[in-house]
Amino acid sequence: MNVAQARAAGSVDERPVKRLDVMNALSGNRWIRGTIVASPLTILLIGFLVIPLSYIVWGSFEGSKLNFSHYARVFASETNLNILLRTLQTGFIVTVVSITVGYPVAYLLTKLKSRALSTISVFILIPLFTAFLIRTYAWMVILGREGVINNALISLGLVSAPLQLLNTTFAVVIGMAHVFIPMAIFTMYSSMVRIDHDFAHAAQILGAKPVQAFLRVYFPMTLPAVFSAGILIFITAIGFYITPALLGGPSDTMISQLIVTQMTVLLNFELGYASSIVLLLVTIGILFVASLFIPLEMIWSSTSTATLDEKPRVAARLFTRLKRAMEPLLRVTESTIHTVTSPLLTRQARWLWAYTVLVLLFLTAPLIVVVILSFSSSPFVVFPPPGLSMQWWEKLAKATDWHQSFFFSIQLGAAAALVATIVGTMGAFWLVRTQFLFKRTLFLFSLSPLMVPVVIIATALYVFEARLQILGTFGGLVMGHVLLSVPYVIVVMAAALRNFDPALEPAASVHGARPLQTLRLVTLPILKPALLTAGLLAFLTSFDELLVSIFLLGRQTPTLPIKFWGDIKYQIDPLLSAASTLIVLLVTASIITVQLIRDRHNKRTSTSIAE
Amino acid sequence: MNTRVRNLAFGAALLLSAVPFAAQAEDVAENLKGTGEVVITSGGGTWEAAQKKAFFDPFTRDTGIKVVLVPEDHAKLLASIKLGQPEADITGIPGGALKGWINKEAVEEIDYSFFADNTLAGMPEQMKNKYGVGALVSSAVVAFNTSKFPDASKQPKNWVDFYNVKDFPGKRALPKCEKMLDGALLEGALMGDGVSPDKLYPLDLDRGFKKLAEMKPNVGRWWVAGADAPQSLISGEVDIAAAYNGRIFKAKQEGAPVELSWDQSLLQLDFWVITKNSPNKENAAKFLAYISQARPQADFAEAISYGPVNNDAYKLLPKDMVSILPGSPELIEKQVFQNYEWWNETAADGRTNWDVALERCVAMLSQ
Repeated sequence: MNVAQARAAGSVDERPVKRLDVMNALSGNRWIRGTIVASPLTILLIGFLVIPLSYIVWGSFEGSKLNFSHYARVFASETNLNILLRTLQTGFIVTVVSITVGYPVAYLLTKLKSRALSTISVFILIPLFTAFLIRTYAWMVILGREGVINNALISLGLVSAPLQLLNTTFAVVIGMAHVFIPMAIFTMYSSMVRIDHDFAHAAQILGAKPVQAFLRVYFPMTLPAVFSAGILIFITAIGFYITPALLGGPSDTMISQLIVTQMTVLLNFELGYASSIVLLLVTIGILFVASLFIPLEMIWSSTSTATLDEKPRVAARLFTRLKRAMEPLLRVTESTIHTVTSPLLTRQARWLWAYTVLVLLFLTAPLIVVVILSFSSSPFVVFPPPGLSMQWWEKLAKATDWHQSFFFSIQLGAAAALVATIVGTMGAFWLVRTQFLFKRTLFLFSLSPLMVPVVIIATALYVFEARLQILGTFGGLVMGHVLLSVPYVIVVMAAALRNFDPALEPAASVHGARPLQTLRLVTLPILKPALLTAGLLAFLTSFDELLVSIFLLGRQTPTLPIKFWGDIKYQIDPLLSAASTLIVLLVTASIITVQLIRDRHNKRTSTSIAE
Repeated sequence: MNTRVRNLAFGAALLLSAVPFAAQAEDVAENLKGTGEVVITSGGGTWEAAQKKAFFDPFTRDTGIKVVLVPEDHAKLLASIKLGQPEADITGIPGGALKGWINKEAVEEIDYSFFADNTLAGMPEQMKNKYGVGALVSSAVVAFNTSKFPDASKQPKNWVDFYNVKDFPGKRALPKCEKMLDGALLEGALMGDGVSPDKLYPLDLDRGFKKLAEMKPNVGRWWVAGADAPQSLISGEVDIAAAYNGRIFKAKQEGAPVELSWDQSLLQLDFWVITKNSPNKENAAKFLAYISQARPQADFAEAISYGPVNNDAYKLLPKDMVSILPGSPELIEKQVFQNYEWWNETAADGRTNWDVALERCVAMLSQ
């Protein structure tokens, strides 16, 4: 089995040798390599997910009592099912909106040179660093009855009475899309950047209209990126609850909120556990069904040859037939789109730029509100502020507890991002590059930290780490954050690896590179954009994480989100805006520094290549 | 001259009445001295700041026992209690939750032997529960934006006015379902429908939810965090709100155009509990005995404007302060006690009234 695998995978460079003993040595080597690559993710998944989650499953029927009444209660009430359906529906809308809005921006990014790219990325990154609680409050300011939008509409005479924007599903979608659009852009960009625009170019030279070249050549190649971003967003979105709770109306209850209430208000842990298991199963079920229709496995299968070898699945065959039947209709649609968009597409870049600026404006709008609020003379969050003052900045300068929290969060985020990127990247290599049974299941399972409501993960890890006696230690906290950020790393890296030309590594080894040299000089440099995206997403996940930190913190310095949360629970004042603004300023400065260093590095490497 | 004498006399009287308490505080501290630490959950923000000033710092100074704070999350705390290694020795819980914690065997009995006699004498019976010591008295009140209701004679003053959209037009703020207990959602609706405060319990759920359903189109904000209610009044999102008195008072103090009415306000009680198998049980009892004294209670009430659990604290507070503390002798006539026993009553299927009401609330609101 092993030898056969090695033969199949390594056929390019090993065929000329064809000597059994060498093959054996290599396969042994491969086996060892496989173990090394697989073990970190396996240990993380089993140690920090399977064991804690089995505790939850065990608890959901009260262990040996085998009391399934909690499950009965989950299904007995129509309300629970309605809330579950609504959660899935909201998650779906948010996913579609984020992907659709983000796609053109990611497309533009792939065409940009480094300077413009850095500028835009900074604008996309900034909102990500504004603590989510603050962002949500900024949206309340913007969407409120006497908020920015309503005031503008009324003064323009467009409406006579304020529109109800806040406390609606609309507000929830806006608030959540704001969180997910940057994530959509970055995950899609990290694999789209590796697609050659010359393909679409070639299609146009061969007579395709620009629309056809895009829809039939470029777009299909980006599908893996789109799907991986979509899955990531969907499963993260359905676990959200603080944003919907603050922005939505009473009918916008999400399932996680219900679970949190069951556990923290009703103190009914077993019911909370049962609800979470149901949610997890429903999510995995949906993804599995979806994988029958759309190529979910494109995220990690390294080449499309696998699908060619296999018999096409029923759904796929149906789809192909449908596509053929639709062909005339498709042509008509394409021509119509072409006639409509051709005046736009000729100046495509300018049009895309205008669109991108609009998206960036949407992304930075809450931040603008936050910055203005930090200079408010009022002790309350009123917008526009009645006057300007530096009082909140002075307060912040004196608040040493805020400074400590900030540095602790940075430390924690960096540690978690480092570990998560290493573990996740090795895991992605393993999941993408080797063949084994249950690969799809394992892939879905490795994403489950995003599917299980965070409060459940937090409780499970709490109990688990207490048993291991690492509760309240820095290492214990880092592991909690690693667990939550590894799925992002895996999805980003798997999508990038799919676009990785598998011939490059054997080529390097043919030219005499040792395995580690190949890794250092060929594989990792090519994966650099994806690695940076993955590391950044991991850092951000940790930097913005609230619940797991509360559970695992012990007596360490409170993290920044805990600090924000503690203050916001009792009082909303512009000090939070000042703190948020400061974080964004620091982050912007560090991103720009990193970009400058990278620019210089790139310039150096390109000159050395030229030489 | 005359007034000066009177002032002096008044001052002297005040001093005299204060002296015994001051003396007492020192005596008690002697008996409460100890070593080691006591771990308390903390909510952060202004809340923590007030507790630090009134309770934590003086306690450490007078007794030598260190206070350690950990972030508050009751799910976490219960998980740690289940493991037999409670993460904190003391936590504060809403009155409605006490029964649940007792049923889960998560709390220790309180050792009242550390409490001084005059502390115990100052505390009303319900503050000295077998398993919990009263922490503070708060109220869910009707609050409004004064710029929307400038005329003092036409301001909403109780739940009847809150539910009267014709005479008091404007958007309302109400708590979401998970806050229905502390936000007085059902009690408010029933009193708004004309139920008299003394006949409130047992709550008529059908009638309450019917009233809420009628009100739904006029609700501009369903809040989840206590700070949301004043914020939505200040930002103009709503004109009248069901809110916690402390939040409204604080906003008003800082100059926000908000006001509250005590009429028909719902009186609520928070408890301090000692976690099961707490390793610092004795220090925890000492801490509770210390902070239940009149002086710390008065300091805390002054900092955050929630009512003290020791009636002697009123004597130490400025007069204008007393008149705005929930549960104070001046206000208690207008207020209604929340009946936790009713909320925790269990039906044959093991579900409490709170479970049933919560489920119905979610069902009604998510339509």
